[in-house]
Amino acid sequence: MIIAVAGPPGVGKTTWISQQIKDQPLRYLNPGVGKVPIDQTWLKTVSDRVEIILENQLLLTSEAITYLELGWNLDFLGMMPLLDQLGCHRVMLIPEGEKNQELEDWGDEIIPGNKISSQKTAKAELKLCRLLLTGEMVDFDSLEVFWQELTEGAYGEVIRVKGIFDVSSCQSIYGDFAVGAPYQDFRELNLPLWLEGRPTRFSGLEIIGENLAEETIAETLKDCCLPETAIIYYQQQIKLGLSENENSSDVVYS
Amino acid sequence: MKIAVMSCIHSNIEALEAVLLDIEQQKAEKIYCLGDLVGYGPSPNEVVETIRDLDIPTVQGCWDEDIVEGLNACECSYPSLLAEKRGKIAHQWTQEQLTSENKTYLAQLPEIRKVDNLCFVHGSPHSNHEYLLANMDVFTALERVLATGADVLFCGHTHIPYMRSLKDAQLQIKVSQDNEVFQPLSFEAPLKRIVNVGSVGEPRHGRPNATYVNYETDTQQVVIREVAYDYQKTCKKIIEKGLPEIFAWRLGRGWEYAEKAEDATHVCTR
Repeated sequence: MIIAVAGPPGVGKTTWISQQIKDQPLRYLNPGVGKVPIDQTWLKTVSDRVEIILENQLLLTSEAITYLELGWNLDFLGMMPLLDQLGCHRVMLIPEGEKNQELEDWGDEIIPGNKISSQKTAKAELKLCRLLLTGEMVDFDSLEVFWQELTEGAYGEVIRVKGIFDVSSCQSIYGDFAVGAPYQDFRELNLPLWLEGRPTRFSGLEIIGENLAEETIAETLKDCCLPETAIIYYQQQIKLGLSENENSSDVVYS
Repeated sequence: MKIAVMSCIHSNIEALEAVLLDIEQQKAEKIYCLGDLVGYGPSPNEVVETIRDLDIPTVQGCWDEDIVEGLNACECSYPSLLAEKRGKIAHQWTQEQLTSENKTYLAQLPEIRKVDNLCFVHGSPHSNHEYLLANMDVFTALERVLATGADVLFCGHTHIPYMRSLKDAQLQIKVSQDNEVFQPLSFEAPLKRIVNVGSVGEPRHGRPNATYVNYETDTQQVVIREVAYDYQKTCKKIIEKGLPEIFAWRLGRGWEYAEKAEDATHVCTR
């Protein structure tokens, strides 16, 4: 069975899919994300029962339910005939308390999602900006400043941002912003500390907005990235702290 | 006598002119300045020359010191990598713009000034890089005032104005040496005050307006003044002169140009 999930950016599509993970394994496809697969990386950290599949695996027979998340940048209204042909069950998430006939007509099932400013997300001029950060480790204090500037409009009118970052504490963290939704702190992902050299696991940023100063965004983010020497220094400090904790737990009190 | 105390002008001549006009209207008889005349903003020479021409008694701020002594007089001045990169751009630009005469003026500024029972510093009596934040612990705050021998300590540097009274303070110390314990010694400190005058040219209270303080020496009344000015003119100049555009955007929101200062103990996390 394939369940196609759509809705405006920030309404909570991936979160809703994560809530469907119960005892059964789940297959997940988020087409068109290219080299910046933020949602699937986040989803994998929520449960190891999630199997990420490629587009050419969609029609392979499986007992697991396949969730097909359709991003804002895809013409999900125009995809209806194709989805019908695949026998998809269509789930539409709509901001809680809002009415949108076109979106409601698309869905076989309507789910109330996050309260976001859907008037802003409906603009036709919205652009998508994606930045790959794999291999970089970011200074967290700098990231906080950049994130605040970005979400407050310093680099264009932003309506949605999500990102995964390797930070100086050697953790991988997730940041999430949707215009009109309550502010959320960065959250640590359930991934091991990266203690050896530049991280080779995925990190990146996705921004949806209007009049985005993409070049300045990229340059500012680059200014937040630590040099190699600092990465090694932080990793040594974290390892030292971990070994001290281990040693102190070995002490026997009598 | 009414005195006006201002700080942290940061090369913002429009804000300085608006504050000087307000001081005149408020009929303050004397003006003191707590440093950071330059840095980040687009008009360093105009600001220094205005202060010099008016012969305003001034102490040296961390930016004034860094421009003279070289960057990183304090090695962890910046709270983040991003703030450091932006600060370095501003530092280099200001270095190139400032005339040698104005640099000489900044170099000869004292770090501390005492007038009767009043003391004027940029950051703290110990360092012009140290932040005396409103919520720092009472013991440390009291020590900073007592170190000066004054009753009122005027400071800036944090860019957020406040007035703090430290009263009924009792200090008790007990010294032990070679297993011999001496009798505890008790001290009582009379009323002391810390007055942070905010920032003229780089506010971080969430509005672009300049702040300074009027103080009545007879009644000890402190009045924090907030002065609106044409900050958009300053923002336009920032962009025209080739400084980072983000400085203009942040100034318009009252967020400082590039950095934040939230740690009273000034511990760099990098």
